[in-house]
Amino acid sequence: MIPINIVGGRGLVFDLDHVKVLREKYHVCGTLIGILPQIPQQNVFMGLPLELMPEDIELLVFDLKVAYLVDDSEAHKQAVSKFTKEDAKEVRAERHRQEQEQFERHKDVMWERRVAALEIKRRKEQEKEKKRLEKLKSEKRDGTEQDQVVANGDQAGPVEPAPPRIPETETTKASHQEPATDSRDNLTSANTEKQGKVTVTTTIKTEGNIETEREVKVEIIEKTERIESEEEKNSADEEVISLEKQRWLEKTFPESQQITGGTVTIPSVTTPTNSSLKTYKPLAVQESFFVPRPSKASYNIYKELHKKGFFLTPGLRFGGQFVAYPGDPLRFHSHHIAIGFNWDQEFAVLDIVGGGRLGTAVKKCWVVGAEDSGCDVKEEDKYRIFSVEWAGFG
Amino acid sequence: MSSRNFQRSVTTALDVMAIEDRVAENLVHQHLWTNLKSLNIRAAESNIVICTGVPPAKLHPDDYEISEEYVLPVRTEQNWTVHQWACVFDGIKEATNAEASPRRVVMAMVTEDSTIVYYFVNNGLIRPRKN
Repeated sequence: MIPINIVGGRGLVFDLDHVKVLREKYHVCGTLIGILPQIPQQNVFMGLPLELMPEDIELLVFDLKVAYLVDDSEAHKQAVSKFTKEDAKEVRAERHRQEQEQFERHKDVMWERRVAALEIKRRKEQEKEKKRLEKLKSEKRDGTEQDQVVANGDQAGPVEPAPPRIPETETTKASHQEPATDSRDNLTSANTEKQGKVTVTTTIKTEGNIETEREVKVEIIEKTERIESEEEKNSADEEVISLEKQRWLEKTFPESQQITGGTVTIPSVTTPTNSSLKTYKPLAVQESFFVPRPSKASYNIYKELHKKGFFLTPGLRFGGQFVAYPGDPLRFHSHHIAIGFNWDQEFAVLDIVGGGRLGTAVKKCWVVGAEDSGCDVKEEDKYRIFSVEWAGFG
Repeated sequence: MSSRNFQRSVTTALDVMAIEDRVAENLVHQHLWTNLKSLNIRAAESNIVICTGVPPAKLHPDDYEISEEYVLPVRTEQNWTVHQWACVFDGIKEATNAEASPRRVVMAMVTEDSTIVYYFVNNGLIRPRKN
């Protein structure tokens, strides 16, 4: 059974599954009238709820009996006033279950993302550290070189001026370049450096402050070791990683968010969109409850066309009561503009001219029908329907 | 909308000449129909005069061949009912002793300004023409 909520005299369907069933099984399309929260400034593409025509309601509720009416206002009142602690508990449990479900769906991806992010961060830091060490080293070398230049002033070969000292804050592009004179000075250093090991002993020949040099040396060695050890840790076995993951999961999604008793605050009011909650029951119809019922004339033609397999939508666009589609409106063009009358109900001849001309202009037939009110008519001949088209001349 | 608002003069050409005659004349001279005749049919409590005739070409692309058409003259000031249409179709069947009522009649709407427009009224639901 599909609930149809009556809100201000209009029949609305709030559940997408019900909308599907209505469309696929009962050929009832309705009109989506809700705005889309993501794009509220337009009214071309609409979302839930689905508004039904009175004829749709008549068919589903009173004829096929596959839907029932819900007094929406009353349902809200009852949902609020009859909401017990047990209900609250249930709601919370349901929410918790949904959260867990969602978490189960996403945790692996989240963990992978986290690992990837950490890896990137670690690499960046490592890179930075390497560059700093390099720079430190080249600074040391600069000192040595200058001394040498002074010492061997008459030396042949390309002796370039030492690269300028790069302040700590500057981008490290320049520090990538090895000084041209480097190869001559310390080949060992250049080679080992690529493996992340820096041996400084050979490079330091200056007569500067011995203390500082030692400090630098120690620092460089220490850092290098650290980088190496980190790389080792990187290839640690999976057991450690899974342990790490477990710890992270427990921290991020504590299972201990259990539903405890304590003070029960009423959560957000049950909305019609949440039909899974048990407040959905056919309610006693209140006196103020107004259900839109169609006129006999319009329902008769609706039913006649629906019986023949047509999908019917509101017809005002084309000056009729209904527009009839031979299949789902998303796949077919409509063929008929339909209007239902009573057997002896008069309409102007000029309406036939107007309807026929408009219909022909939009490749449709202007269809008019009525049920024979005579009593000696066979059931199958009772409904008479006529299709009007411009004759093509005059 | 009351169609009576469209009535412009008290005495019109329509009062001088019966509308079935005006329609017949229009069909013969403007639309080159042939073999125009009139046919009296019983419709509910009254008589209706309709015209029969043969158009010079097929009226509808889906027509199998040129055949005799039934033309129902009405005035634009009139009102109409579904019941009347049913009577016309049933009446033609009766008047012609045919096995079934015709598939369609051509409804001729006559104004007092010399314009006559023609509409197909099909018995039952049909698909709109393709072109």
